[in-house]
Amino acid sequence: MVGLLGVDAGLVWLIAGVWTVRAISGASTGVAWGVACLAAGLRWGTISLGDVEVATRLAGPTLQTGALALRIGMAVVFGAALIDEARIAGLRSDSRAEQAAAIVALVALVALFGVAGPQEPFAAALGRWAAGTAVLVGVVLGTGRTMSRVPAWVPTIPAVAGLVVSVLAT
Amino acid sequence: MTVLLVGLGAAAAALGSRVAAVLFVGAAVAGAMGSLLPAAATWTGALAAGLVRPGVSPRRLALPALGAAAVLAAASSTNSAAVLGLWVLGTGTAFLSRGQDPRSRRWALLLCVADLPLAAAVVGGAADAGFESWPQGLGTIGSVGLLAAAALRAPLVPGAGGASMEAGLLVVRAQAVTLVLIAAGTGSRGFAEAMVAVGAAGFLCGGLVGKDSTRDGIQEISLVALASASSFLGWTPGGWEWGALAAGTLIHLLRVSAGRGSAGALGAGMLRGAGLGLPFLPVVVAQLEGLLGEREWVAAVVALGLLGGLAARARTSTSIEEPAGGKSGAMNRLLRGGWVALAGAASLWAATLALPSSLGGDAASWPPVWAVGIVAGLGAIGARFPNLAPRRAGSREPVRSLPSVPRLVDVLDRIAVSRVLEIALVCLLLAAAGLWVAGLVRGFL
Repeated sequence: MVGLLGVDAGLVWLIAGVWTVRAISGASTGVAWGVACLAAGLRWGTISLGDVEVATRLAGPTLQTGALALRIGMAVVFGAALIDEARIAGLRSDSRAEQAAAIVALVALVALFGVAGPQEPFAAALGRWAAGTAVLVGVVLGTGRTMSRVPAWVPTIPAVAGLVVSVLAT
Repeated sequence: MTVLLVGLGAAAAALGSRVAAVLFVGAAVAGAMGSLLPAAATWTGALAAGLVRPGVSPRRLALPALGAAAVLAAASSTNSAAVLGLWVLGTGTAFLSRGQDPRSRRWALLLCVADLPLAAAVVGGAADAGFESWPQGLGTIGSVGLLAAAALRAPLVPGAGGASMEAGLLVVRAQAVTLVLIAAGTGSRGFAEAMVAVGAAGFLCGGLVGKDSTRDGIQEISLVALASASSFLGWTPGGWEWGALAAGTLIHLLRVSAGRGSAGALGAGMLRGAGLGLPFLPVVVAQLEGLLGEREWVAAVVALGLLGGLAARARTSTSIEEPAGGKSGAMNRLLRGGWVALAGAASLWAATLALPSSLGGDAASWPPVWAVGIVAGLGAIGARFPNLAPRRAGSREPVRSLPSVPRLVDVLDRIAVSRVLEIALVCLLLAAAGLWVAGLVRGFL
């Protein structure tokens, strides 16, 4: 929550918060999702979600800006994170904390990859975040049963590969 | 002064007096005011003071504290003729603290082996640039030797159980930290860049280790290596090795004091959570922030290493080891609560790790007080409504080890018989004595 408010080093707060809840519960932490958050930060040279929002407001959503290789790299990272979230199935958990962590994780993916940074009026930006999250929730719930058979380490590989591609393309 | 106070603390501990804690605190303060490796001196003294705890005889600390004093003396020496002798004295005290079981013998053997790269670097440096140029005359090859010696030592920091725990935390940790700090300051720029990558890789690999104490030791030394090398390169603000050691000290004390009760459970959660509550977190953030402005691949490698280390920490941590010899008295519970509060504060507020100075802390971007308040408030709400908490606590993924590890352990067990261990230590002592005599013959020049 603190990370989503755009404070300094907020991406690390996001990752640390979600991983803390999942680690204490014994659930899979979501390494690919963490790599995706950091990859988006590296793409814009920051570890603050607020700075990413400023950058995407000026340049456009992360998935739609930059050279083709860069966009492919980011798309691979985003896809791997989504598979990881579907695999973990935090939304189906019987724990409110894990459900909240899963929602925060999906909102972060929308804010980091899917939409441009907020402009006046902010209600429109919040609407985009909510709509994007709703889509991702649908995807995650819809594919959860299939993705639950994916081993935990599998999404990490494309996530890291996508990060490497995007670094090389920058 | 620091060495003297640690030595006096060792004497007080040998007499069974808890005044040792006061002397160790004095050593930490004196170390902070000193000019030579203040971080190593301060946090060795602080850890020694923290290990004087109710229900555990201070006599357990006597020999390890003496060894720590010898290591700090070696670190402050500027003549390589004296360095190896003092160093081996430190190793010797750790060696004597070991038990007689196979695991302890293995640990002692590896401790002697880990001294070999250092001995080679000291002798090579003396032959190359004379005795008085230590450590500036080391050069890059010598620095590689020091880093190798530190890397071999890092897994040995927790000791081999029993009485060797204090020896590991005080002597071996001080040795590893000293080696890393000296190596970072004496190597070339290319070596420092490699050291940044090694530090990140070490943090990742350390997280994969299943045993809590070994994992903490490796990750602490790796962070110190990363922070000291990156500040040497000017990539991050100077002084974050101080923060890494402060965080490491808190984590070691949190782990050692972990036990039953609410504070013990909270401490265990903080150690396992790999996120909020983990004092390493601000150091990780400071390193990431500094390195983002550098070359892309450096930032990516370090980011993956640090992130992977945190993720692996959360995945593989299995159980908090029982505190060695501690009883669950009121004072112990109070101390445990204190360490939990300190570690929590340090993880939420980066500047805490830089106290008492403003080393690096002011330069770290860190959320404002209201953000810390939100986290603390949500934590309090979570504690008030236990139904919000996950119900599957303890169902962690199984820990897997490399198939080659048991074979390696078998081989080491066959080698590490008492006679071999004694020969190894005597060889090191002879090398140290030989270097000292050579220095004496040449007038220490």
